[in-house]
Amino acid sequence: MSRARGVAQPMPVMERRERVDEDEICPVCKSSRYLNPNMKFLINECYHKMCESCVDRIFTLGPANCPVVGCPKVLRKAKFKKQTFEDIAIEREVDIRKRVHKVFNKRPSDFDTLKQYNDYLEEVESLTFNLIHGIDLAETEKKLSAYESLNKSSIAANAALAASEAAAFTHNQELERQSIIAARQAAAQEIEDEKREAKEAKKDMVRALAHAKDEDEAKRIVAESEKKIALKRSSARRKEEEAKLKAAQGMAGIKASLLAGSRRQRMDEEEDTGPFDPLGGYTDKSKYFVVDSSYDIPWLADLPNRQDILSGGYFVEEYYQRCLFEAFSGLSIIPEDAPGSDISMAD
Amino acid sequence: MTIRTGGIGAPLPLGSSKSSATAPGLQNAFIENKPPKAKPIASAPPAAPAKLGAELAEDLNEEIKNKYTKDKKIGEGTYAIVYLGHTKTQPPTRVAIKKIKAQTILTSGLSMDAIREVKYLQELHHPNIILLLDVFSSKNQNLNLVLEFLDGDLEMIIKDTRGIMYSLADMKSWMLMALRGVWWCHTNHVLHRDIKPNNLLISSTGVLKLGDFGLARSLSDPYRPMTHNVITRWYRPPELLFGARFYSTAVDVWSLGCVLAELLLRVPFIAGNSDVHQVELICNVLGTPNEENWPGVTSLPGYAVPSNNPGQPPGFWETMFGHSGHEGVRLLKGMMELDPRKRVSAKSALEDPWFRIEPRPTRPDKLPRKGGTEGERKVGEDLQRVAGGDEGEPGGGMGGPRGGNGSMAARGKGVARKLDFGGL
Repeated sequence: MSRARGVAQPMPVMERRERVDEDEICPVCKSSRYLNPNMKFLINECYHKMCESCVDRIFTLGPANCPVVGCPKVLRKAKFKKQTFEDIAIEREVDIRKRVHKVFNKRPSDFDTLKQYNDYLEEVESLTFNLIHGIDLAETEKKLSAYESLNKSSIAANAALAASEAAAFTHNQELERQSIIAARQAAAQEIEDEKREAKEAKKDMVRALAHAKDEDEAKRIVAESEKKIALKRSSARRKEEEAKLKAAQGMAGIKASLLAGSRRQRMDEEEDTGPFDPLGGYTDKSKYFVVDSSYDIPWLADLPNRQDILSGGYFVEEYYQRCLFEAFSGLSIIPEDAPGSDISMAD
Repeated sequence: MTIRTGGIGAPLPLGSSKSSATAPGLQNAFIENKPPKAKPIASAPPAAPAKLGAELAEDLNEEIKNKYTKDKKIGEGTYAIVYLGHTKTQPPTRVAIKKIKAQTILTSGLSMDAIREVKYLQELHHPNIILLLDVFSSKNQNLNLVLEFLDGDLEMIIKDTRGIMYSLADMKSWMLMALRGVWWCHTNHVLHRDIKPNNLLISSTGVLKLGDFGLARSLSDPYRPMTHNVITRWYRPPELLFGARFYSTAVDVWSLGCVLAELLLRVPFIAGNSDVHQVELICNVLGTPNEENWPGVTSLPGYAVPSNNPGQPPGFWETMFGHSGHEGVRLLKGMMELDPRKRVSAKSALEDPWFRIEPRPTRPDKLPRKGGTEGERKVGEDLQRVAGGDEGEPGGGMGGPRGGNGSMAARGKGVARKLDFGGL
């Protein structure tokens, strides 16, 4: 609109102004941020932006038409909200996805096979896509409501499950946080106690020394107090370790409760403990032949003397092995079953 | 060129029945594994007219071709174009389609790399070796290899020192999988000859697989020389550096030893910038090879060493690799033994107690991984690379052993982009 009024202006300047205006001027009342620094924009289900004061002005007395020219929607004040994403298209898509997800909330565990789940996901996605891009709107809406009424109970059950999971998660987080705080406080307390005790012990020792009769007694007092301190330290350490163990156990409990739902993951862990097979289930033994350490082949008789061949790492045993392997390879394969059999048959 | 078209699904008779039990998911893919180029040369029925055979092959080829859809190009090089594709099944599986340009490098036919890759991958079926799903030819007689799509490699993980931390158990797991793949190659008499972190690919489920069989060959017959110009320099064993023309499975074990050292250090262990420098560095670490520690070494054609170097003191290995434990250091030393005859084999390395003691190897799906689209780009880069012909130096000539890739990515880097003022 502003463009229509400003035709006389040189074009580039106009372009720039419009860009800045987008965020600065309410498209409905044209009041700018310069006059009203606290201006806030709100949107409703038709995703037309307008400032707060416009919303108050138009919708306080009840539902009214959207003030943007050409928009047929009737809006209510209660449904206005702040924009989360800068891009209005994304805002709209997220809203639609939220809405679809509320209805289509099945989980992988509700399906027998992965294929079924994937098909389901694909269907949901195509439905969402249609809603976003306005393809077959009426039909898609019908589908959505049909599904909703058909699966009312399972939707409710899954929603409840999700809510309880979320609650459990926040509960666990809270527990974890508290245990950390407790541990920190305990540590601080311990340091404090230690300091206090050390001070007291020193005071005691000085007092005792003041009353000591001779040097020997003084020495004994010093030794005793040292022993006491050492004893205290070791007992303190033991206590500390106990506390740590307790905390660790608590954490393990939390982790276990978090993992309780994921059965599959635990099954994976168990697989690891089988016996180790270095060759991964394969073998290089043949049931047809055993390789001897040497064969009497005239033309190979010279080989052991050929230093230039042997020192390069040539192993004649590998040659024996290969000859036997090639002689017997393919024996166990039935031509009809073998891959590519149609060709070998033609040979 | 000889491409075996016989139906040897799994080379070992006994292994074949067992392998299907251990790797159910992988074996299914092979039901459709047709021999690659059922062109007229492959097999024409003797009695029927030749035309019929050709037509049959044509149909077969078409059938395989129609199983896959090419989605997008993820890399192009002089040697091959790599596409990301998927199967037309439900649900679709991602695959990498490597289209080899027929008449570019060798005017007389296909490049050796492609032939080797098809020849060996077709025969080697193992969970730790990249799967060749199908081979078909498209128009202009282009050869298309349909490979399993793997989105990462070990080099990416080792190099990402900031983003990825891995533990001893993770390293054990990777080594275990790499050794199993190499052991399976060796059991089936195939030398990989280009093992490096770059070629140890990692699947989306974390399984490590041996890839890039462009330099592989089967064990040679006695007295028949092989080329010594294989394996990327940093991973090349001393016997190859000394120009040995008769070698064996021990070369791959050395490379794996280098990979283990690199996993532990997170930088390449012995990184020479020329062949001479590489020999010098090896002598520096392990001592100069002589008749004492390596009988017969002086008879190797390219034997030339710098002045006698005693090598690092015994404590060196413990300080450098101590975090892998005593067993780990022992295994590493065994794999990096100078004399190939004393080097451990892949199998005895697998049976090493290092893999049995705590911590046990991590399960593949729990291994650290690199996310994002990084992997896709990487696959494109890796597969398109020219691995070098038979006599060419692998990956060399393009600035260091790790050069070679990225040459395409670098293209167009310096070109300024057109500025769009309309959008301002």
